[in-house]
Amino acid sequence: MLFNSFEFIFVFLPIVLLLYFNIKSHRARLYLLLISSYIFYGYWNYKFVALLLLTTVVDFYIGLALHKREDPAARKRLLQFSVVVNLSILGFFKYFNFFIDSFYSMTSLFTSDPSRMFFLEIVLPVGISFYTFQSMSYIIDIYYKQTEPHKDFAAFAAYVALFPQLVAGPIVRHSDLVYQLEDSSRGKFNWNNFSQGIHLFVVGLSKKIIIADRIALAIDPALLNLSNLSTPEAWLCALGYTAQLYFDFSGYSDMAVGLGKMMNFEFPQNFNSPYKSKSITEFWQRWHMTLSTWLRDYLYIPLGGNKVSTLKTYRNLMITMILGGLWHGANWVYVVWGTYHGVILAIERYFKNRKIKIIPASLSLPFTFLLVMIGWVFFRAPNMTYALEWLDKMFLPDYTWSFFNFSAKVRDRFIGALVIGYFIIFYCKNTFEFDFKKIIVPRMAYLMGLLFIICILYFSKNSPFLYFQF
Amino acid sequence: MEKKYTISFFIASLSLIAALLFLVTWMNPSRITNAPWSIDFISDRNMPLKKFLLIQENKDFTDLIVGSSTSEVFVPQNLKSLYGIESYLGGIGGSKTPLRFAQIKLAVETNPNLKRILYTADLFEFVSTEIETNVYYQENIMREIPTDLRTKIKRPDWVSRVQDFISYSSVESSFKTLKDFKIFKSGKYQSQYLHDGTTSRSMVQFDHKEEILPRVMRIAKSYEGQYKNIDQLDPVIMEFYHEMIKLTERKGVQMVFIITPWHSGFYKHFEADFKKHNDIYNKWVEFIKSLKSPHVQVVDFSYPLSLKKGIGNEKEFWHDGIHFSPKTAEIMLNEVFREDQDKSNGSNL
Repeated sequence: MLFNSFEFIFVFLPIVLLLYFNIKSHRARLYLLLISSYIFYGYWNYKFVALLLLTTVVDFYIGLALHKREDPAARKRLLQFSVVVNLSILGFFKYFNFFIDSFYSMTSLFTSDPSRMFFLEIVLPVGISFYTFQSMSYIIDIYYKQTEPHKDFAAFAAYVALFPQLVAGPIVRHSDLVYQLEDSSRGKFNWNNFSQGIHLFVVGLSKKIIIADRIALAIDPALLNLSNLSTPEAWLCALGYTAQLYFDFSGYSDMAVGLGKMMNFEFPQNFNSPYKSKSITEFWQRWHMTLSTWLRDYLYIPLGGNKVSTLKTYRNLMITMILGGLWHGANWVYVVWGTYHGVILAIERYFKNRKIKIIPASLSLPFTFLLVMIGWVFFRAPNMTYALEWLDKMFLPDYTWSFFNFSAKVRDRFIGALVIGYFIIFYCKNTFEFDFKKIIVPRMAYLMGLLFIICILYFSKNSPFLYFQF
Repeated sequence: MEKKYTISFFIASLSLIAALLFLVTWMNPSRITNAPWSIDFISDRNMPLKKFLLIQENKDFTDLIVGSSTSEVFVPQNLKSLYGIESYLGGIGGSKTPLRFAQIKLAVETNPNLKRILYTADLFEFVSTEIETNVYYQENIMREIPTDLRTKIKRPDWVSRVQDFISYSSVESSFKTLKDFKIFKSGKYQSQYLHDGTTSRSMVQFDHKEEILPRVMRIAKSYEGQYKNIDQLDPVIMEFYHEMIKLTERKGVQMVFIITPWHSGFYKHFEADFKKHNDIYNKWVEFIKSLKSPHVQVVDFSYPLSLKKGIGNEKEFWHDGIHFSPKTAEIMLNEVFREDQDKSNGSNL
């Protein structure tokens, strides 16, 4: 089910909220959260609910077993088992064909006849990368004795599947959410949280529908016709996608945080005005923050982080970024995108350690933005040839000034969305900087009501969030 | 203040929804409701009903052209000047098979001069039996469809029904209908439909300065979602085809199915998917060709045969990937009427 759908807004959410605040028993409320989350997830493809359940059951019991055992070897085996199960599921559904394809390409088995190649038609379960990471972090935390395991299966299952953040994050740590799920006072209706939740949800919905979707309507068809794009069009597509991705993904996160707030849950911040960053290092502290911290805590630091030799620190950085890139999808472009960011991070670290400033302070923001935008070209491209052609169009001008690839029907709204979008990006506060004391006033409620209805008028059956594919 | 905010938000949202609902049901642009306060005015914007009612009024035509937006280039005035044929253009952008069937049935039963149906067949008809809500809830149209077929049509889902009332397009049409209605009340309203079904309200609009390939790619993108849903040719749509053949045969009206061409770029965009989906494109072409009989003529301009028949990839032949130019339409009509001519010559012999 999509947040931006009639089914969710007019049926699912009102029923869940109504029951949530009227059920007296805390246990029953947990079951409500669990069942509603499974319904929410099963709405796409009910078969994948079994997969979600499998991950949950395996990690729940391994968590308990880990807690009981003191023998380090046995504990390690249990951890390995959980990691293997989780990564095997993720690997099969997300990476099987990618590895097969890469294998064919690299070995003599490569053939130009696709019928001789072995591929499986695999449908990627929505949100698998998010809930797998969430569940894995739980087991790793128990292994390092940073958290206690759940004794209550329903609470743990609700943590893994909680619908507001199930399919596209934020990736919530067990330690951040479990005490909230166990707190029975969260079932009490709270006007303050509910009003803030509404506000955040409508802001997120508007980011998605009014900005991201308008941009997508113009750039998606244009990018289908890459070879005919003029240089300004190629730049507009890159600028458009940079804004689209931000508004689409941060819009989803705002909606998730808003939904959580309505039910008195606090989710972590996922975006902190990332395009205002003055370096790529800062960018990664502001973009998809819950993934960045996950990779830092469960990959970079266990690899040794920066507490090892300089060379190994760079190695750790590269491994983290490459795997972070691959997490986004089974395609070499994500590997290149991760490597690209890894290399820039390494360069920044090198100069920072030597206290050398290579970019003047006044240019650091636009320069970082440009680097990020170039990275998004790889991220958006279906393959490397495409990405290079796009960059070629951008940086080797053809001196034509045509905009034929943007249909007249969508051009004005695209430009409007782009202008508003970049104004918000560079000059407005992000949702976590809102001063709710000032904005939770009736006048603002009328404006939010208007925005909400405009979004509803633009609902389309075919407008999923970009990060669903990851 | 938080309580006030929440209540104000709901009041604002619900009032706006109520106001929009009232506007849409009052103007009733697609005639989808029977609210007591709905106006009785049929705007030109309600193309399915407008064209349907015109078929009832017009008894002069011998040829009925039905199909989707691709049929809009078969202009009756051209058919008259080139071949001396009186025709009626029933083609409507995005129309589904049940509406086309209803048009044919109405024409067959009410027009004694009717000789031939020119049907532009397209693969996208076979995606699903779900039809437009503005046709499904239009009693005059639906009553033309036999009960056994009507029960097989997929009812529009509730989301589509909600979007009939609350969507950008329904609100926009309501405002435009309100504007038309005001002019109508002042007695100055002039319908933009001619007696032969032609109208300036085409679904297909082009910026002719634009190169052809971007247009092809743009429409390919917009059809991507639809196309990916075709796993098989919908059997109910096939049944509609067989039923319209029986119907026209009974009344001695000739049926001509024109397999419309695609631009190479459009075909190639989907080529891998065609194969993935069990070669659906060829299955569709074969199905239409299998309908051929003494009473049914099939004119095949499927890809890549269309290239051999002189329809190239250049701008002069195309508006975009599937919508062709009048020049292409003329090539196709020449074949229709040449075959027809050959047949009559043959029978004379």
